[in-house]
Amino acid sequence: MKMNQPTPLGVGFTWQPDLKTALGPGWGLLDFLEISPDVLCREMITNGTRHLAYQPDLLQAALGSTSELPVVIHGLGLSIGSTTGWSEEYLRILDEFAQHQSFRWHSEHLAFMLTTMPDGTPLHTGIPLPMPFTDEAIDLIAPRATALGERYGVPFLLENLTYYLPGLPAEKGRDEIAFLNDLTAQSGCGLLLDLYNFYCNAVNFGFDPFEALSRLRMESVIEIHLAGGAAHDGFLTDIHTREVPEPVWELLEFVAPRAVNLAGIVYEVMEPAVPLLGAKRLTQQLARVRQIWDTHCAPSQRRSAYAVS
Amino acid sequence: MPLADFQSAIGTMIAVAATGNPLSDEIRTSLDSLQLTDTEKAWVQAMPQTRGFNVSCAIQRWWRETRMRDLAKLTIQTLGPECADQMIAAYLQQNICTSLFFLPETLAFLGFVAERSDHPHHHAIAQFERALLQAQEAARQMGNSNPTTTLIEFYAPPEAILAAVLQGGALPEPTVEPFFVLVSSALPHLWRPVAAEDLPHQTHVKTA
Repeated sequence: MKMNQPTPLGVGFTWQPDLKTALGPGWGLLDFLEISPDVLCREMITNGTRHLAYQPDLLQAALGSTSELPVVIHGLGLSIGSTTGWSEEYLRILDEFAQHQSFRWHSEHLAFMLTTMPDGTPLHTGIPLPMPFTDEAIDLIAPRATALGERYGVPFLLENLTYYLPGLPAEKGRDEIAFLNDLTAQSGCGLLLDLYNFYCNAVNFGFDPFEALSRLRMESVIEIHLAGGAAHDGFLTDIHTREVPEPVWELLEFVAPRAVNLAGIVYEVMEPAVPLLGAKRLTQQLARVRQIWDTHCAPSQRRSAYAVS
Repeated sequence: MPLADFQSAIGTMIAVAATGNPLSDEIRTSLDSLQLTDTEKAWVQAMPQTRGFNVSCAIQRWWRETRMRDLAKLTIQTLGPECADQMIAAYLQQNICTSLFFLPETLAFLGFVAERSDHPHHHAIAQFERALLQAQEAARQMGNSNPTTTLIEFYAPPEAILAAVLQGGALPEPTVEPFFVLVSSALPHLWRPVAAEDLPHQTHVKTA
């Protein structure tokens, strides 16, 4: 399967209300915004049935931002890996969003959250949980990923997860990288490579991230996420509250020149952390992303790199 | 290991362990019914002893608590730090996660507080905040076309209770006579006090 490559966008940031004010001069460094439709919605559960509805003020604020910058979508609640079926409600709100606003690509977490207890009672895990590195997982997700690309007519990307469960079941000697390679190859979808998530896994499970990334099908990488988080009980956790740690910048320097189809780098920060980090530090982080993008990924740099090689 | 059984086993164990309760014999028996090899069963059984499993549970609890504290500010402040901590811990122990979203978690928590509180002001404030969230949501979604209306009984003048909560002062002594507050998505500020003599004229009133 081959995916249509999106036009490179550049540097992005997690959309949230009043972002332009919060970022100050950092806003000028942005090329695009990443919107999670879920955060624009409220969920009501009536007699066990979930219903998502946009909060009109938030939806209008998000759509207002799109007049200034292009948009990509990053979903939270699809649960693409659930054997009990993905969230139709999430797709319904994404369909609704697509009627208002086009987006360059969309992505989801490579995970499951919806399942059932052994007696059949529906269950929400509350956090995205990892897929085992098995054929069955690939066979479940690949056609879903393909279908999502066709449904919206733009590339669909899967994001690697931070996970904490040791010794996930695997087949054919797959580790996380081999799993991502097989899944993107079979589905034709792209990879949203979250370098902070990957760094967390490397630290938590003690593997060399550079060796692992050297085995990744770099042509599948369409977007990169950067973030900084906190440790809990000796584990680095996926929470977007801090500046990007130095080892993650080093991973970005490694990946950026190799990921020839890279179309965007997003610095993810949770809404409550934006005022805590402040405009000055956020701008410094974005300036560093911009410098790396301009050096390795801007279309002019790509052309000259190809010319040299 | 069949993928469905893997997800059921891991999802169930995390959901239960995140409440802080041990796996019941019933759940252990049901987990045994999954189609797992001996090696897979050993992996599943060993999982709760791993730090990674416990970190997963802690993160789930942290998110749930964060959502409640963010959206139930009035009730949390009314309860005070110690009582709020106890109430949150009790809620998390007795209710497994059902959603990623702030509103359903918080509505369930406020319902729990209202049911569990033996202090009349705590009970009333939890009901009041719950009704406000529901009215706010109804106003957002439906405007005034189909208003939701709830009547809350306070056992002190509601303005005095709210002033004490917001200013961090002592709550007024409970009264014998109730004071009524109407919460509705059709009201300009979603709520207003209602005199007892006006109650019979209210239509579509649902006692909380």
